Order: sequence, then structure tokens, then C-alpha cells
Amino acid sequence: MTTMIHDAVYRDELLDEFRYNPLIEALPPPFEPGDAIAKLMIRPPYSDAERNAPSSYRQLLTQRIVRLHQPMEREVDVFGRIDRCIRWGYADRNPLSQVYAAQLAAGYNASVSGKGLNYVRGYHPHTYGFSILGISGIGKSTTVESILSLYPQVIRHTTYRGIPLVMHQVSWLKIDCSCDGSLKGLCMDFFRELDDLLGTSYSEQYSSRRATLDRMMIAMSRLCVSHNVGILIIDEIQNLCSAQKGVPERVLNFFVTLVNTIGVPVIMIGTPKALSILRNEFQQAKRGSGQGDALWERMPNDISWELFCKAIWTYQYTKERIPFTPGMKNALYEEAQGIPFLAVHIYKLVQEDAILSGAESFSEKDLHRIASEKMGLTKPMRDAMKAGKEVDLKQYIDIAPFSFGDYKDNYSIAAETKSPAVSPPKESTAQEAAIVTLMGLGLSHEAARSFVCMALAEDKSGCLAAPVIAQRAYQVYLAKPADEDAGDSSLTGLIGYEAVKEAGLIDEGL
Amino acid sequence: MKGYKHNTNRTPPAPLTLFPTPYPGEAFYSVLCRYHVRSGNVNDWCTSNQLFGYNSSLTSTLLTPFHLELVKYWFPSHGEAVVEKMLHQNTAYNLYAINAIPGELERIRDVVAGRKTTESFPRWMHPRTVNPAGYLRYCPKCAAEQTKLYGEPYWQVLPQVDEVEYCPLHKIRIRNSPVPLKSIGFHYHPASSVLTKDELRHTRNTRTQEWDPLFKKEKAFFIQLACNINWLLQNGETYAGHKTMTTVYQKISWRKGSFDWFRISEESFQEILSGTGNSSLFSSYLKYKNAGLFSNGIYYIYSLRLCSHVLIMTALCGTPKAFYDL
Repeated sequence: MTTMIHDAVYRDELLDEFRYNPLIEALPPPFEPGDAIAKLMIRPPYSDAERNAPSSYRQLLTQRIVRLHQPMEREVDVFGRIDRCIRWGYADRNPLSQVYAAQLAAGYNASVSGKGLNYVRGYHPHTYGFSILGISGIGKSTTVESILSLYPQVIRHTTYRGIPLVMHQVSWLKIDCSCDGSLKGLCMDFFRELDDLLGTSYSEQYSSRRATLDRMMIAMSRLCVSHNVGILIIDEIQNLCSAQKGVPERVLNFFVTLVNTIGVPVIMIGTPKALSILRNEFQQAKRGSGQGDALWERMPNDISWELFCKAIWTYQYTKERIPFTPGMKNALYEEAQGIPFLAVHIYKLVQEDAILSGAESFSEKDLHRIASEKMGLTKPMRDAMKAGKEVDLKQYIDIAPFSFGDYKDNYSIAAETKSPAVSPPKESTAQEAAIVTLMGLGLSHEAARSFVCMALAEDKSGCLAAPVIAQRAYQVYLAKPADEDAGDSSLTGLIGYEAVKEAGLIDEGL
Repeated sequence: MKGYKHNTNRTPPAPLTLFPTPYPGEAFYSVLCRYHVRSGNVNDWCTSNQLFGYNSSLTSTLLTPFHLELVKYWFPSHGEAVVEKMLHQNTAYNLYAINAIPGELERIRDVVAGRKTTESFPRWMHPRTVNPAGYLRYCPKCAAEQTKLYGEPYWQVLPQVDEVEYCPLHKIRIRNSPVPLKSIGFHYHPASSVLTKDELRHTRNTRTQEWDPLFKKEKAFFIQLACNINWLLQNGETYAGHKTMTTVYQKISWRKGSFDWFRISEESFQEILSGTGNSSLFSSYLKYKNAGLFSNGIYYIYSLRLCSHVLIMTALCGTPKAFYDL
């Protein structure tokens, strides 16, 4: 066994639906949004003194930039959805209930008879999964993995309230859709993953030639029940496009069966390419959006991009400290086109180049040069995105933007107008999270936003983490005279950081 | 366990990732079957290999505590407490206990606790000595209730025991399932896959037709007998030892003044069973149950099948407790 196995520690649950369910009581308590951000944030260590280290070491240190993770608003949103999926999924699958045993028996009988898995009478799980679709490199998988890492993946139960209860609980299991999109490959990946987690030998057992696909699918359903899989995440779902005719439908139907008959929520992650498959299956679309869908676009060149860039800018290992300027921000955006993965790597590569060449400095031109020289493979896609040519982008379906038409086709929403609704200007992720935290403390949305703006205005660095912003904003709130109206400020009506900046309260120099 | 050679060099099985919690009165074999259902293993062999480290026979797990010593390897955290509980609740150990000679029970407990190898099991401790019907058996009403209560039916210990013809709870006939005992040797037959709705609805008479008239005529007696066997399954250890049983037999012998309880003739048997009203039928029934043990018209008391003793107790005193209290 390679995974750490946690012994179950049961908490008292507040919700009636969750009470006396060992699978839920053994999970960590639900996270507050502020905690979620703090837990999702990954800030590798950094010291200015490291800039004086030998160049060979500094080249190694640049890798830290890749490890940096700056949580954003949409990640907090996905966190909430995943948490709801896991807990509500378990609510219908209490191992102490009759349904649980009946499900196992039905699975075994299906396996022996070779017929499909039947519904257990009277069992109607109210479980839904959801889909996260977004362009490559935007951080879908990283985000989901970061969220999942906050849950103990394998929990060992031995005794529950004095009753012997010997079982393992796999609270989440993530597999990649195989390159050829085959269902057999998917099943085998599932078995292998379980084997790695639990030390079992399912992959060996089901690798024989006699193991038919039907048996493997039934086995997968059975094992989800036996090992109490809380949530099943299928990444790279766009690989189904490479599958033979009829296979994508079969795979998606299988996921629907898992959700409907077993009650295991399935989360699918993929690029916009997967839309072409999902759009054809209303049933899947329904199940895939039970917790709402998550369609992740590229980051716009706004305050959120600025905050993201400032976060990575801290990690600089050239001897000369290069200041963060709007020009740098725009150059990075131009080359990365709002894709954090590309931005991080361009920034890393440009530093490596500066260190290796001995220049120990870089400029906007270097960002363009490095992107062109060292990220040549992605250049055509980036050029297409830069040009914003839809025809060109369709060649690179993984990075094609979602259109209103896609949305309409997928979810059969009768559109009243063909023009997409104008979305309100977005606040930065950290800022939004700080607002949510303050709202949790009893402040109104307007008041919370106002105090966060004030806190940001006082900050000179301009790249504070959400918990710090929230803390400072709360201090501002406490320090404020009671008779002063929180919403009545010159900032009211303006949006977040931008508003503060417009008010001339931000020092642009870093 | 004749001919079984315990391999002490065999690697103990690894801890299991799951194991079903035994239901009240569930046979150990049934618990293993439910493990098979839960394990998701592709075939019986894989499950046996996981449980025992080799493809072991399962027949002995129906009533005897054979393989129970492995529980501590399957879930180390539970230790001997669970084993002890399962010994009493999920095997026919308590019933066997009344037949044991001094020292045998200690040996059994040592084996179960892993202090001795299975070679120390008494040789008479075998399911074949108590279940000549040759099928896994069940009470249809119990099975239906188990499904309602637990979501799945299971094989109980009691119906597997010889001479249990009626369910003591529902007062209905015990049925044979379609699973012959010889097929449980290396196969798992979970009750949930055998006792389907169709099977439970089927009303065939599942016992040997030959004795049906006796069972119908003496329904009350056989219900009492089933109750007594059930009682001994829970309390038999208190009256452990063949010596205790022989002592009571001797007391009766002295009171009646005409029997030698070590060796007893067929006529004497009929005389003892005269209180049942169908002494000749009962005597034939006992003869049938103890086929091969009857020689020259004489029974050797030590050779009688376990449940034949319970039948005699029922015929003589009504309940085992009354018998032992004599």
C-alpha cells in the first residue's frame, strides 16, 4: 500500500441526514470559505537571500514557481460543490442501512448472472455530479487535486459506536480517461488505482482474457459500493472523442448508471472538446450539472490577472530585482493568453535564461522572445488566441472558448436572445474570498466589500492572501467609528481593487 | 478434519480491507460468503486465497469453528474478543460442547485463539456428523425477515443442525435450498444469491419424504426439539462434557433399574421413547439417523449422533435443562 490510511475518528453531525452515518462522520468537518482558501493556497518558501546563491542552485529554485498555487473564486466554488457531492453522496449510502447490503447483493447477482446491474427497490439516490470544462492549462486538474488532498483519501473503520465495522472508505478516487477513450482502459485504471490504495489485486484478477467488459463494469460498480468510494473523478474526458463510434455514449451511460443505481457522484473534467460528446446526452448533461456546471474560461486581463502575476512575481531568482510593471503584466498576458500554466512557465523560463546567460535581468522583450523560442509548440494556439479568430481556434478545440451556443445546446436552455449576457465585472479571487469571510462574520455584502477595499488601499505590496485581507479588513471595521456608514464611501459603486486604484490609493510600484 | 495436515509454514493471510459484521445466529460460512460478495473478487478461488492463503475447503466453516483462528489476521484490531464472540454466536460450538470429553473444549479454544494448530480439533467435530440432509437449509420466513431487516438473507446456524425440522420461531418446516453440502466445499453460495424471491415462494417439501408422516404427526415434539437445540446452541457450554451427560443417563438408569446406559438395546430405546406416543417410529428414526452405529441390536451411547442425545433429552424430560437438572 502506498497511500496513507487514516483511522476513522467520528464526529457528531449537525444535519439529521448525516447523523449516524459512519462514512460522513469520519470525514473532516465542512470547511468555511476562508479556511478553504487558506488550505488551498500553496506558497513555496522564498527568501531574498537566495538570489545570491550560485546560479546552478538558482536554476533549481525557479522550479518553485511551478509549485505556487493561488486559489481563485472559482476554486472556492468548486470546493463547495465537491464537498456537497461527497457528503450528500454518502447520505444515501449508509453502510448500516439495509439498502447498502441489498446493493452489494444486487451487484453480486448481476456479476454472477452476467446481466446488467438492477436498481435496488426503493433506493433513489439524490446524488448528482458535475462537470468542469475549461481550456488546457487553466488549472482544472490542479485545483481538483488540491481540493481532494484536503480529504483523507482512505479511512479505515474498525468499530463504530461499539459495533464492529470493518471496512475501508475511499473518500475520492481520480482516474484519467484513457488516451484511446476505451471503457476497458478506464475500468482497468480504476482497478489499478484501488489496488494502489488498498493493496488489493483487482487489476490482476480482471486482466484475464475471460474478463469481459460487462463484468468489469459491474465489478467497478460493486467495488464503488464495497469500498465506499465517495466521489469518482474522471479527468481528461475529452479523450472520449478519440474513442470508436458508440463508445462515448456507452461510457457516459455507464457513469449515469453509477450515479443512478449506486449513488456515486461522478465529476468529469475536460477541455471544451468534451462538449461535443456531452451535448448529445441530455441525461448526462442533467447528471453532469446537478451541482451546477463549471465552465472555466481563460483569465481576462484584469485585476485578477494582475494579482496572479504579482503572486508569481515574488518568486524571482535573478540577481537584479525586476519590478513588476503594467508592461510586464501585459507582455505576460499577451504570451500566455490568460492561461496560468503558460504564464508560470514563461516566467520560469525567462528567469532560467537570464541566470544561464549571466544577464541576471530580463525585460518585456525577453518574455516575448522566450515564449517564442522555448514554447514553440504552443505558439500556433497562442497566436490563434491572440488573433481571436474563431476559425483558427476551432483547430485547437482544447483551447476554444465556450460560446453561448455551446451552453444552449448542452443544457437545452431556451435562449431569449442570441447575445450573451453581459457579466458583471469580476473582483479578484482573494478579494472575493475575503468578502465572503467577512460576510460569514455578519457583515453585509456591501459593507464587507467596502472594508476589503479599504484594507487593500492600505496595503502597499498589492499581493495579499485572502485570509490576510480579511483579517485587515476586519481590523478596519473594528477601528471604524460606530456611527459611520460602512457603505458610504467614495469607493461605493466601484469594484474592488480597481476602485481603490482609481481612487489613487494604490502604489503601482512594486 | 480427518486427513487434514496443518501447514505451519504457511504465510498468515494479510489484513482484509473489509469484513462483514456477523449477524445474530449467522453461520461462519455465511459470513465468509458475504465477504465474497463484498470483496468484488472475480471468482471463489481468489476469495479463498485472500482469506486462507490457499484454496481451502469451506465445509467445516458451516458449523465448526474451523478457520476462525484467522480472524485475528483479517482484522488485527479486534483481537480475541471478536473471535470468542463468533465462536459462540456463529458456530455450533455450544452444541458441540455437550459432546466433548474433558480437555477437548480447551483444545478447541486454544486452536481458535491461535495457540494450537487445527490438528488439535476433535475429529468428531465435522458438519457431516450433524447434517445428513446434505443441503444448506433455511426457514423461508426467517429469510424474508432478514431481507427486510438487514437488506439481505443469510445462512443461520440452527437450520443446518441435524434434526431441526421446524423453525422454533415461526413453527414452519425448514427447507432445503438447492445448494448441496458437497458443493460448498470450495464454493461460496451467499444466501442473497440463492434465496431469491422465487426460491422463497416455492413450497416444495424439502426434507426426506420418508419421515414426513412422523414430522407432521409429531409436529409439537419436533418444534420442541428445535427449541431445545436452539437453546443448547446458546447455552450448551454450561453443560459441557460427555461425562455430565453420561452422569444423567446413569441416574436415569439407576432410577429405572433396568438399563445399562453404556450399551442399550433397541427394545430399551423403544421403552424410553414410549412417552412420545410413537415409540417405534421414533426408534426407527433414531436408527436411521445413526445408521452404521447400530450393531447387533445394540446402541453404544458414546457413538450416538449429537442431536440424537437432544432427541432423547426431549423425549425423557422435555428440555435439556430439565434433563441436566435431574
